[in-house]
This record gives sequence, structure tokens and C-alpha cells, in this order.
Amino acid sequence: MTRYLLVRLYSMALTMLGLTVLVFLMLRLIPGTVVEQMIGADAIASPAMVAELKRFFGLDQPWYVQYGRWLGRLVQGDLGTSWRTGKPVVALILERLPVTLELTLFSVAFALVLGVAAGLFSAVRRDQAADNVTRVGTLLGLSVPVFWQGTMLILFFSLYLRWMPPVVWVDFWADPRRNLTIMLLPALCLGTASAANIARTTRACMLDVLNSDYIRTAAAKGLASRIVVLKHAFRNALIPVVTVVGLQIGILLGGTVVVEEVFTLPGVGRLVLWSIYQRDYPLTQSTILFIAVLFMSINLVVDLLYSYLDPRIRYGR
Amino acid sequence: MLGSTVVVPHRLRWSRQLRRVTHSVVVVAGAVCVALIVLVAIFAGSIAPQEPDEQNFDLVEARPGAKALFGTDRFGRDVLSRVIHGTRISLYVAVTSIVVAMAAGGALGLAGGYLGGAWDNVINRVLDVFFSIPGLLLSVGVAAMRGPGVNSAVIAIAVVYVPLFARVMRGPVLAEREKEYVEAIRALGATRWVVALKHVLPNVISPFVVQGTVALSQAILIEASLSYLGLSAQPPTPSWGNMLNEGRTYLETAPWISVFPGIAIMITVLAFNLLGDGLRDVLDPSAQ
Amino acid sequence: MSEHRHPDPGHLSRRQLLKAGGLTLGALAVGRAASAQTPKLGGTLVSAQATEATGLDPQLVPALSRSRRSPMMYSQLVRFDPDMTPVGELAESWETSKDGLTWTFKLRQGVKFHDGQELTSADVKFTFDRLFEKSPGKSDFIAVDKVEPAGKYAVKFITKEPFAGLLAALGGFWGFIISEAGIKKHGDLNKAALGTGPFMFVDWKVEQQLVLKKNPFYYKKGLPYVDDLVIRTIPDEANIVAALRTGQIQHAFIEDNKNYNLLKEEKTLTGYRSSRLGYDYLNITASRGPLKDVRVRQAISWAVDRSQVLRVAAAGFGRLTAPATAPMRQWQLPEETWMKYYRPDVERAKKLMAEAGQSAGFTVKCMVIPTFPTMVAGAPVIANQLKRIGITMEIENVEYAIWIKRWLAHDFDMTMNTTPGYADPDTAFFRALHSTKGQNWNSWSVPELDALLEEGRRTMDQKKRKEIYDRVQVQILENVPHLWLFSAETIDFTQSNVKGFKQHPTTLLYGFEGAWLDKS
Repeated sequence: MTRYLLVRLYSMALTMLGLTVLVFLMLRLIPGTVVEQMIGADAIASPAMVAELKRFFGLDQPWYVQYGRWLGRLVQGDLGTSWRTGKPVVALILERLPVTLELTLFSVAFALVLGVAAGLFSAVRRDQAADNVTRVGTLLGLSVPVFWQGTMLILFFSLYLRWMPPVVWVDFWADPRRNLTIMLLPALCLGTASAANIARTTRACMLDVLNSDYIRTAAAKGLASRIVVLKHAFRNALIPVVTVVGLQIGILLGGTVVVEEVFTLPGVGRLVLWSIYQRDYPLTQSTILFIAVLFMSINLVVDLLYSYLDPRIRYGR
Repeated sequence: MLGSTVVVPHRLRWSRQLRRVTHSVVVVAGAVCVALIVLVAIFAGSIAPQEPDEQNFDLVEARPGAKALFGTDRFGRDVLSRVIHGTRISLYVAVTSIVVAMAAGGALGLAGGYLGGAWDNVINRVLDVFFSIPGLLLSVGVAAMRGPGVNSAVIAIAVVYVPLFARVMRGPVLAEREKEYVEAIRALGATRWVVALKHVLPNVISPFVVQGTVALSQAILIEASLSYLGLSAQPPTPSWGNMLNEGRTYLETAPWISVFPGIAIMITVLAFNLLGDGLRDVLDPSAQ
Repeated sequence: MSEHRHPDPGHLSRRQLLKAGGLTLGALAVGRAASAQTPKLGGTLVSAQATEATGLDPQLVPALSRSRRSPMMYSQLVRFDPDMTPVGELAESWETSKDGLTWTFKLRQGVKFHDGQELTSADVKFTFDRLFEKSPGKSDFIAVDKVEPAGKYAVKFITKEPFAGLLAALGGFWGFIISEAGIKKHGDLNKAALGTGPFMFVDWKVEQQLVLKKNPFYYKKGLPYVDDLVIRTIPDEANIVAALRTGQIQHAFIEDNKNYNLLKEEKTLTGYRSSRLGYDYLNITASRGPLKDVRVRQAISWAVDRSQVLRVAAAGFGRLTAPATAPMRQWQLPEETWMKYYRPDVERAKKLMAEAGQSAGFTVKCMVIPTFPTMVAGAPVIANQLKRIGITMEIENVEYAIWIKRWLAHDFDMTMNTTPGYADPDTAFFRALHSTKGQNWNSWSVPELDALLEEGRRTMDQKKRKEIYDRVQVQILENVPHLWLFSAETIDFTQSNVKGFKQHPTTLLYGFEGAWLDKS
């Protein structure tokens, strides 16, 4: 297990390195720099001033020097300072991370509960009307664009139920009830597609397992069918579901960008978007790297969990 | 799979699969929907009642009614016509990007899986980098890099999906490579390329095609997201995503601007999902 | 001494007011009429803004979003009150020398910065030294040679030539006074503030909120009334509308004017509408292809129906305007003089196009910044109107950062543009239109206009200046460097229990100083 872990970490490190190159180059290929943003259109900026600003941000250096400097600071753990706000990138990310994590967490929870329940329901009533309806439902869930869903939900709630979620953000610890009302719609939107995926996987796995020999034998032996389902089939079906859930968390992290934009939540996703528009290179680079590390770590944890759960893997292939 | 491999002539296998495909209700339903949507896209000019950017100041923000079935927006433009024309953008971006991704990714995966060794390693490492960020973020970065526009969206989505298709191709290729019949053909003197293209490829194409259809539906969603963020088709060219973006500030006064493009996206994605689902059930029942 | 005298609104008939170009500049309160009450102290006022400031330094950040926030933390030597009369703020009084080259400002005594230090002439000198060294805003003060203390509480501004626009510059976006101690302590004032304004900086979470508290040392005794002021950034105006309705915020500045209709019926809210100094316009680069010909530019002007653009871009809340907008009271052209250029005349436009040899039409590109709603809304309307005379206008959506780059390089055919406006016509027109000594935004050359602009800058006599700038405006209308499209109304909303809030034609937030919360 430890060897596997080490190999994976080494792999991650290499990937991160490659990513730094990719992100660095990609950003610098976007036209326009932070200097133009700062000068604005309405004022005279002497070439000397422009040059001074460029020098201040290190933009006058050749790209490999800029890259080297950034990388050097990175390995020391210094994520840099945001050009637009002057705040350390770490501070900005940490300010917003709880929002994104909370959103992801609630979405996963919602998706898990709804998805597993729907999948089980569907599997147990295979090919009956209920199953078909659920299957169409999951397909619809996969087909709905997240930002439109958000818009429609807001419209529905405000027009017919005369209710609007509070617009001013509060922390969970400051006011749990308010915070949850704010999170309700976004988590619903973000979690829908995942719920659909989880439902489909659960259904497929359950069907596989329900049809397998040992379950049939147990049922023939006369145990109550419900116990059969819950105890035996479920545990075995769990394994692929865990993988799917893990994958979903990664996908959700990406989806938070759009959902945060629609519901104007102060999360990391919107931070990245804003920093790209502001050409705030240190902020963009470090935040994307941060998200990538998070993403890869989650995948690593899921893989470890998977190998822990599946005894075939745990004891060597 | 039990025991020996049986080599089945390709012709027979294709016709068998084709029969299974046409007998599945799900596939047929999906295919018909997709065909209809494609027709709408091709004949948008003739089907749409108005020009998509024709402004009509007598009919600004009009409710859906006889004069405008889906209502009009703040310039008096007909929402129905714009939704119809938006089909072109969505299909163009989705099909182009996924076809490119399938070709490039497939080639990479085939090369890596079949050639193995150092090639495989290097290709894998590079693919890992692209897998390390959430896809949407990557596509936003690529689109921003090139400048907003329809072709930027194509490139951005292609970049996101190339690694996926490479992986999808690589796995089965690795497995096939080990099979006995490949050894046999090589022993008979065939070059690596011949073996790869003529023999290995046809056996791995099914999961690839299934992934392709599913990817198409995802590509439509990603294009809509990019449009919504302002990175794909630029106004006044109508795309479903940018119509939703424009409709944002009119939710209270003219919600129809936001409702109909969303429904269009949903129906299109659903159609491709049905097709993909059906194909998967028929062609590749072992895959999840 | 250029003291501007203006007609007393109370003694003029409505018709005369219209003639002077000044519709009601004060607050048009909708809802319960504000009665004269005694202001109550205390409370927290939460204001929502859709656009976050990119930094708070009053000398380094050019964006309007920064300038709007500056009056809360900083003061100017001279400020313009809501009807654009210059009023002494940190300066008690001022006088000009006979040759017009030296202005002496007497400073108020006993004014304290937020750290308790007293304001002296050294601070003013430091402010302007830093401005000339580092600030993009030095262009407002281009005619100023140096700033010297004349004793502890007096400052001299020495100009290279007579500069009538000095007061406008001091009361403008770049005239806020800082202290050397503040720079020493913070390096720059982007994330902190040290000024003499009514509110002190407490904390700033970017894209979330700026928290300020009452300045106990404020030199205007008794002000401000509220204890805490929170400026919240809520990027989506639909959310701002919702927040106003549900009472989550006390004040909001509305950027998308059509939202006025959504809120005007709300009984719990008070709406404010007034004329804005700023305006939206269409810039033309007069060195590109067919645009070189003045007849083509005139044709464009005759083909565009500005009322229609106003209707779509600002839901009709605004007005058509001459180059000098309504709040520039002393500079108003009589309405008959400029309005006639704005009556759309497609036939005339077509004739001009034919005369210029362009009856076949041509294609141009027009830049639009996607995050500016009036630009996004106005451009398609104009494109449609220009089609009628054979011009195909392709809309290019250009992100702000890239737009600035191309703007500075004059790399565009046409572009939509919006400006917060200028109090003095010299600042408004010289830099933009002079072909050699300014920035020449249009890449053109009209020698008579150059001469007029130079004369206007040098003249100190108000009457003479008015004559000169009247002619400047007519030249602009005839030669069409830009199309003045419209001036949108400034719209604010507060909860009905917020009293004493005043709008300002520049949209800068001077209005919180006198605002108070009625608890009853």
C-alpha cells in the first residue's frame, strides 16, 4: 500500500510540474496584461510609467525567467501575491475555499442520497413503470444545463412561491440556517447531474449483483428479500459506486465555477474567473494549481478507498 | 470470457451489430431526435419565421403569442428564430470538436497502446497533465487564450476531450495486443501498422463510438456553458448559451428569453444521451 | 477669481430651466416625501454596488469604481456640490493672481487625518508630488507646473499658462488629498486608507465588502450620522433588486436603468433620479478608410436615432445631450442649436454617403466591452440603423483589458464608449480632440478646433470662455469625432427609513456623509 502511495505521489508531482508549464504558457498567450487594466483609458500614461509598472510586475523579463522565479517561490510554499488586490494568494484562496467546499459537499451529499435511493428503487422494480420513469428522470437530469436549471429554479421560487434566497453571503458558523437557505438551490443544481450518474451506476451494479448466483441462492433459501437486498447486494454494489462518487467530486469541483457564477457565491471558482479577466497571473496560476492539487488528491483518496474496499485489489492482483 | 478466442469475420460481426442497433427502441428514438435536430440546423434559414437579428421596436419584450411564438427580446428579435439558428452553433461546435478529439485522441491512444514502452509513457504523462484540472476550467482557459469565438470553443472542447479518447482507445488496444490472434498475424509477417489498423482497431471501435456519442452530448453542454460565460459565439450571433446570458437581467420582465433556449439545450442533449445509451447497451454491454 | 454664478432655480420658470439645459438636478423622491426632521445618530448603513473597485488608492486606480468610493475616506481641496458649484472643502477660500498663473488656497485649520495628525500644506504638496510622479491622473493637472506650501495652512498652485480648469480638476476624480504618513505606513493605499474623509477604513474583502466606520475627528462637526458603513459588492443586479426588496441592504446604486421600473412601486423604498455628468458615446477613428471623410461621419450621425438607442440601453431613463451635458450648467448650448443635429434624417445621410462616393456602402467593426450593459445594448441598435444607409457595422466583443490596449493604440474603427464626464470643458475636450497636444482619440486634425481649444484653455474670463466653448461644441457637432448618444440618468434606491442621502452628477458617493437612519 505504501509503495502504491509513493508511486502515486511521485506521479502527482510530475503532473503538477507539467501543469505549471501549461498554465503559465496558456495565461501569457492571452492578450492584454494587468498593466493596461491599471492605467485605464482616460488618462495619459507615459511610456516611463508603463515601463515602471511592467518592471514592478516582472513582465519585462523573458518568459523563462518569469517562470523560473514563480516556480522557485512555489517550491518554497510561496503562492505569490495577487497583483490586483495586493493580498497574498493564499489568503484569498483560504477566504473562499470554505464556500466552494461547502457547495461541493452539499452537492455530493444531495447527489448521493438522491442517486443511491433512485438507483436502488429502480433496480428493485426493474422494467416496471416505476423503473422506466426513474430512468427517463435520470436521463433528464444528465441533460439539463446547470446554469439554466439555476435560473429556472430562481424564477420558479420567486414567481410562484414568492421566495428569494438571501443574497448576502453568511458563513455557516455565523448563521447556519441562513447559510443553508443560500446553499439550497446551488447544491440542488450542481448535484442533479451527479445524482443522475450515481443513480445509473447504482442501478446497473445492483442489477449485476442481484442477478449473480449467490444472491439467487440466498433468496431461494427463503430470507426476506429486503434483507437480502440491503445486506448482501448493497455492500458489493458499493465498490463501483464509490468510484463514481469519487469521479463526481472531481467533476463537481469544475462545475462549481458555473454555479458560483449563476448564484454569485464568493467561492474559488469565481475567483479564478475574475482573476483571468483581470490578468492577475499570480492569482490565476496559483489558484488553478491549488484546484488541481485538490482534484488529484481527491482522486488519490478515492483510488485508495477503492483498493481498500475491493479485497481482490487489496491483496494484490 | 471463456477459453479460446474465436476469430469472427468482420463482415459478419458488423451486420450482427447493425441488426441489434436497429432493433433497440432507445437507439432509434435517439437517432430520430438527433436527425430532426440536425435537419433544423441545416434548414434553419427556411424554418425560422424571422431573421435572427432583425430588430422590431414595435414588439419589444413581447410575451409569447401569435406574432412571436416564443416571444421577443429587448430588441424585438424573435426568440423562436434565434433558438432555431442557435442549433447551428451548438451542433457545429459539438460535432467538430468531438470529431477532432476522436481523431487526435484515438491516434494518440492507438499509438501509445500499441507501441508501448517509452512512447506510451511520455504520452501518458502529457495526458495526465490535462486530466489534472477540471475540464470546464481547462476549456475556459483555452477559449480565453485564443479569444472568444466559435472556433475557440471548438478548440477548447477538443483539447479537453483528446485525453479522454486517448485513454478510451489505449485500454482496449493494450488488451487486444496481448491476444493470440495478433501474435499469429505478426508471425505471418505483417507489419505493426497493418496489425494495428486492420486487425486491432475494428475490435476496439465499439466502446470508442459509444464514448463519442456521450461526449457529443457533453460537448453541447460545455459549449452552452462557454457561451454563457461569453467565450463562444459572440452576440449578435445567437447561441443557446449566450441567449441565456442575455436573458439573465430580464428574468422578471421577460423570462421567455431564458426558458426556451434552455429547453432546446435539454432536448438536444437528451437526444444524444438516448442515442449514446442505446448504442452502449447494444454494442458494448460490458462497459459501464 | 473664478466663482461660478448660476441662476437660482427657485426663481426661474420651467421653460427657462429647460432652456438652460438643466432639468431637476436634485433628488426626485418617489414615495413618502422627506420632511424636515432632526437627523438621528447611529446605525449601520449597508450599500450594494455591482462593480467592485480594483484598488482603493485615489492616485493609482483610474476606474470609476474607485473614484466613487474615494469621497467616503478622503476629502478634496474643492468639491462640486450636487448642482456643480465649486465649494471649499479642505480649502476655506482661494484666490488667483492677476496674471492667472498662481492660485493660492487657504487651508482649513484643525482638520485631522484618520490617524489624528493635522492636515497641513506639506500634505497637499506631498499629494501632488506623488500625483505628478506616479498617477495616470496627472493629465488632469497637465497645466500645473508646481505646488508649493505658502505657510502651514496655505498652498500655491503655479501653472505654466492660465488654467481655468484647475478647480474642476481639484474637484474631480484625482483631487483627493492623502498624507505622507499613510504612504509610509502602507506603501500604497490600495488595500488601506488614510484620509480626512467622513469614514475610516476598517476592512476590505475584495469582491465581498468594504467596511468603514465613522470618523470621530471629521472636521464637519456632527457628521457623519451613521456609525458604520458597509459597501457590499453584489455583482448581479437582479440580486441587488431582491436585496432591496427584502430589506437586506439600505442603499443601492442602480447601473441598469431598466430596473427602476421593477422597484418604483415598492412602498418600502425611496427612488432617486437625477441627471448625470457622464454620457455614452460612439468613438470613430477618423483615419480609417471611408471614415476619413467628414461627410461619412456626418451621415452616420444623421442615420442614428439616438432616442431609440436610449430606449433600449437605458430603458428611456436619460436624455439626449450636447457635448456639454446638463450638469455642466454654465456651458449649455441652447437646445435648438444642438437638438437639430439629432433628428434622424436617413435621406440626408444617404445623400452625404453618395457625395462621399460611398453609396455602395462599406463594413466597419465596432468594439463593445461585454461587461458594460449600455454598450452591449446600444451597439446592435446602432448597427441596425446604419444598415439603412448601407453601412454594415460588425460588433466586436472585446474584453476590458484588451479594449484598453487597443484604445490606447487607437487600434479600432469605431467603439462604444462611456465616460463619467468632466466638469470643465477644457478637460472634456482638449485631451480628447486636440490633434497634436492632446491624446487625439480620433486620429484626426481640425485646425480651427485646435486653435479654439488652445484659446479656451488659456482664457480665464468666464464670458469669453463660454463663447469659445459654444463654438467648440458646434464644431464637434459639425465634424463628428464622436456621436454623443445620450446621458443616462443616475438612479439610486434606499429604504424609506434612510434620510438625507443625496445623489451627485458624477455618481461619486458624496451622499453618505449626510445620510441618517430614521429608526422610527
